[in-house]
Amino acid sequence: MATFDLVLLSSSPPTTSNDVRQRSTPPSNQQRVALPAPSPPLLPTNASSMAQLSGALRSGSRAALIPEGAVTGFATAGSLFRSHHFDLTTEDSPPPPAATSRRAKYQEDDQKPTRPRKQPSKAKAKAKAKTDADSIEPKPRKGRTRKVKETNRDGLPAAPTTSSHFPIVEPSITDSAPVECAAPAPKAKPTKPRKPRAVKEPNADNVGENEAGTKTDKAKRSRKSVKTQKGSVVSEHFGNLVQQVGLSCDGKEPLGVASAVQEAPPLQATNNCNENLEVEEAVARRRDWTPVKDTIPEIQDHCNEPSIRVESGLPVQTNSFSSMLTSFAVETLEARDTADGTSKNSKSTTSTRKRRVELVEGPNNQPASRDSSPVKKAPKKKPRTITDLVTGQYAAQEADPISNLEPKAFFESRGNTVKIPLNDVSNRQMGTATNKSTRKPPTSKAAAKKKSSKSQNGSSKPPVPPKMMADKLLSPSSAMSKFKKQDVLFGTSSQLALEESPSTVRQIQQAIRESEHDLIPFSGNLLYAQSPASKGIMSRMQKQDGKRGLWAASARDECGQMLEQQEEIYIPEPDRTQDLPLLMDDTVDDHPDEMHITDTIDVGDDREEIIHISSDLPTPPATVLEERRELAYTDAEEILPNIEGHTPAPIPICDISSDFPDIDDIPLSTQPQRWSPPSSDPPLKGTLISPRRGRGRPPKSHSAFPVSKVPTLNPELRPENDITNPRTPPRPTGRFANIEEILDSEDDEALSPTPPRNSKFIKSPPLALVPLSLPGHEPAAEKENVDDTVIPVSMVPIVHLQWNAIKTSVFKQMTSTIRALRPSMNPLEPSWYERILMYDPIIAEDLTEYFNTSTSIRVWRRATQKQIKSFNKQRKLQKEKPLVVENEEDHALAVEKELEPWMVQRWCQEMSICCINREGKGRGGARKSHF
Amino acid sequence: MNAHDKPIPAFYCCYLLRSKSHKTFYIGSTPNPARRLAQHNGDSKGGAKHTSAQKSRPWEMTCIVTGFPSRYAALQFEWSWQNTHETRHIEAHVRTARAEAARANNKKKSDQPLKSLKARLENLCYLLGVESFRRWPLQIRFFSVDVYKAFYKHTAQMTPGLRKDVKVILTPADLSSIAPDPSLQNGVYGIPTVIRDISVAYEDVKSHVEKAKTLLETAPIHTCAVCRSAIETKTSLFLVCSALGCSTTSHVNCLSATFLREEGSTTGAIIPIRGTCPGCKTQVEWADMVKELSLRIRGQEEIDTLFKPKRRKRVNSASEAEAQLSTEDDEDLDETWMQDVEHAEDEFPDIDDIARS
Repeated sequence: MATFDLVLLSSSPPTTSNDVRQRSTPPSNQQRVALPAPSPPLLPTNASSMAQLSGALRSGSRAALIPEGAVTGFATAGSLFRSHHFDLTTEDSPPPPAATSRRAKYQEDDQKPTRPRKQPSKAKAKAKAKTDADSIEPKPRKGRTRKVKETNRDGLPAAPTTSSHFPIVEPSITDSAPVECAAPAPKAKPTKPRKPRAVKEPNADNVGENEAGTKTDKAKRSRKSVKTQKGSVVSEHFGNLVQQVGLSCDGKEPLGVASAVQEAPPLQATNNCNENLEVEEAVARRRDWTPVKDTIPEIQDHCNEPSIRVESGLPVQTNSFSSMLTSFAVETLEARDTADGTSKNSKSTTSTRKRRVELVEGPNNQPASRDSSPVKKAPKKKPRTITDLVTGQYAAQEADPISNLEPKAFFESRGNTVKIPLNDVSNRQMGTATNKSTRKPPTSKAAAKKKSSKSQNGSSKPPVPPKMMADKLLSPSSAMSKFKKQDVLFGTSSQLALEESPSTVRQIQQAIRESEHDLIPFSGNLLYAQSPASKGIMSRMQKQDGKRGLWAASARDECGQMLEQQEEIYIPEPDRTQDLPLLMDDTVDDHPDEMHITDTIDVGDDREEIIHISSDLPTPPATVLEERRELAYTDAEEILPNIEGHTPAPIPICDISSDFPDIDDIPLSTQPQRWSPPSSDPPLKGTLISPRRGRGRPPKSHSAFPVSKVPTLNPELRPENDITNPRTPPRPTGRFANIEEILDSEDDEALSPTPPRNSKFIKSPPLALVPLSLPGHEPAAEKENVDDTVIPVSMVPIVHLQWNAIKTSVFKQMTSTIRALRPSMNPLEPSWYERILMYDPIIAEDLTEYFNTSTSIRVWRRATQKQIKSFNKQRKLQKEKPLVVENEEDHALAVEKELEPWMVQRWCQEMSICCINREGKGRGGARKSHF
Repeated sequence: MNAHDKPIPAFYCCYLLRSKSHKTFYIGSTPNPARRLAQHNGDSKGGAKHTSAQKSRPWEMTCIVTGFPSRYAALQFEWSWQNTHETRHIEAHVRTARAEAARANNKKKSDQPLKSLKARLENLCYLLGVESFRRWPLQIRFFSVDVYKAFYKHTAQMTPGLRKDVKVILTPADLSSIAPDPSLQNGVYGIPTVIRDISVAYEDVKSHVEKAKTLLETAPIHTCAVCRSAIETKTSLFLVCSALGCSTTSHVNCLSATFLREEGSTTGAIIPIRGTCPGCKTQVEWADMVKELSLRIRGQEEIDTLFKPKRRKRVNSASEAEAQLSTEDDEDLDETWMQDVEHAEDEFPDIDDIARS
């Protein structure tokens, strides 16, 4: 912060110089005018940095100054409004501000006498800050000056820059008054604060008055330093702000603008006694919270109007101006107390999101709610209104933190349950009513803050609401969902039901715990112990229990029918909607309507639950799981606040519901469908193992899951669990069987359809020949059932392994076989021979099948060592001589191999039979290979 | 195995088109050369892309290879003729050898297969002798005298030579007399009458079919001329001599064995090409008899269409009858028309279709 202050201080002199330059050199002005664009980007960066820091600051500051915070909120709203308004104006209509700036310039030109004053000030600043050559200075100045110029010229556009600067500068003031005093900064500072009220700045440029202002500031600052009390600090801030404003006004006076003159006297008065007066106002506002709300819009209006009026040179009402000051002061307070102010200044959306994150983190990190205690007082007074409820949705951010705080208390008492309630809240959070009901006191204040924030978001920051609308408009589905949600909220006058939801969740959790009492070793992980993850870890044993229970019944279907599952997997989305309600029913029986509405949210919940389940996995990547959980929580929380807040939320909601289902949602959706029944009941855990992986890699997991994962898991389960579940063993067996069929690729040669490959294989050392009927079981069969499955190995001339060598003989066999076929007795189904005689196009695959099934025509393939071993073993048992190749050059041990379509095709070619392949790889391939 | 649900097509041919400049050629297959030629010339819709260039029109159908026992056979032959350098019907080493030889003879380009008339005629000659097509009942019919001469000129030097059982017919088309036929085509270019007169329906086997029909109607049991055993007409496949006035019936297997024996089948072939009818002792084509058989057992629909016009002809006036005939021809053609459009050019049928059919 200190560094920033210094920079700002140094910047002030250049601003003055810039002013001079502007006046002197129109072209430079133009350039500078063009510059404003870069400045706004700077703001968000500052805001972001501040926002990041804000979390800690806020909490601390708020704990100390709660009542102020309320005030600050309003003030911030006004300031924010201005800043945003300025931004909007800059964005929307850059040209008009330029005109105003020129007017200001002209005015300034007319007031040249003031300039000489400025120059000395500049000289002073330069002398203090830099003794370097003036030529060097201008460059650094330019960057700074640009901002200042922008403010000066464009009045409106300058505001955003100033707003961003404010938070930075002000804290510095509070923190280190001496530094400011020592540096020429005071001048610069006043100028900068003027900038936000940019219109006034050109007037304020007058040095002499500024100096006076700075002196007063210094004195005040010294006072500040003396005063350690927060309230005093606040007053000081007000004073500073007022002074700054006053200075700016003072600056205007010399300009001769009527408005400036009128404004000046009150400002001076404020300068003298501002601190006390404003403090009183603040206290009053604190006490009367509602009126403050009323004032806020007024302030906003005034803020908007005065800025314009000032530009136009029209006088501004003192009341409005004072309110303006107060509002600004509030901003400063917030800036000091909480970096949030900066975030607010920057942009509501960003700030809201960040806040949400903070809030989420807050419950974990900070046991005690800082803001809640003071805030609660006011909210109690207020009765809730429908408008509050509705608006509360928009102001979700604050509500969320509050909600988080309360859940903390619950969770602290019950560590395990913490996350789940959050989830539940998040799920139904669409109806914020549930949260509100539990957290009414905080929410009321929150509502107040929300209102302030709302005013900021909605009124003060025009850009935000349009975004909101745009977002809603963007996704019609989301809009519909929102409508429904709103309806739910209204209808949720039965919030009680929502309140019940957490209880139901707890009950469920308890049930799970009970089931998990068996827990064991993994409890060692402290992290998991409290966290729901522990459940997952614990759940291994319980998986068995689950099998016992109802879930097992459901599991039968799943495990028993792998294919069906896969099919289901393939059709994720349609099922999603259906299944989600089921899940919700399991967890909570609240409102079916809400369930449908909050599909996205539900998904998030499902994730968490699923995660828990997943944690059960044998391989405990504890860290990973935790991370995932955290991520899930954060996601869910983020989603929830967003939904309530509506401002940033709508986009993510829409995305979640519609756009993003690809990665996370699909698996979740699909899995919950399958696994939903288990989730409802504790026994599910065992089954849940799979979903976790599916979650990580939805597409692959679906395909791979049934095949590989399940078998691996099951074996583990078996040893651990002595419980003999008839169902578990069948699963692996069935799956294994399928897997083996698929995996046993040794038979590829026999199975491979493409002739060229086969020919190559033949030349290459042949692999074990396996009858097609027993493709997968060959190895096992050899070991276990030697007698039945041993493939006879015979010694053949090595030449017979070559296709070309045995081709003729095979062809002869085939020809004779065909010729020997008896004529069919059904003209409609002629024999192969008759077909050939009738010029029927012969399908190679069919004829091959016939040869392999109905004839003993075979070719040879070199036997594998395995086959030879098993065969010799069998011969041993039969007391026969083992088959050994004596002359390896001439003979080889071989096994029979079935004919392949390409062989039959060759025969057809040889016989001048029109032969075609049934299999065609696309038209081109078919053409080539078949014709 | 539904490939045998359809009878042997009445007509299917592969053809060699020659452009107006005599420099480019095109090989295709069609069940209706006249219609197809009109397509190539743009007189009707559906011409091949390769023949769409206006400068190369009119295309001249120099020759056709007829007698394909199935559409797939024609397509295979077409593809092999088009892609002689990579067809599986020619042994790889032969292909490479031929390619090298062609390369050696080709002075211009060494990479691309020759596309000259000579190369195409040589390929045709070679393919007719290839094992895969050796036993097919193919014939060559030339419409261009110069191509006919070139064929013999080029193939005379080939070592295998043209196989003996391939009939080569020259029916020169009088290109000068060609005029657009307003009745059939709206196009600019006419179709030579020789090509237009090609019978693409089963008319040529009509008498044969009728004879078999009457035989079936007269007696349920006949005697195989070869094995002298009874032929259950409803349960066994038997052939009826295609010779005019001969009613000899015989088992398919028996007659095929007889023909092959007569042929002195040293090659161990399964399908006979032709033989002497054991009854009338005339030389009969195996394909003709089999075509009738396939029509009889699978082509009831075709037979109906074949005999339909006569009935109507009796009923209606002569003019209407002619109109009927022409339209019916078109209908018959339309059935193959789509196939022609789909496959005649470069496209080959999916094998699944074959299986289904």
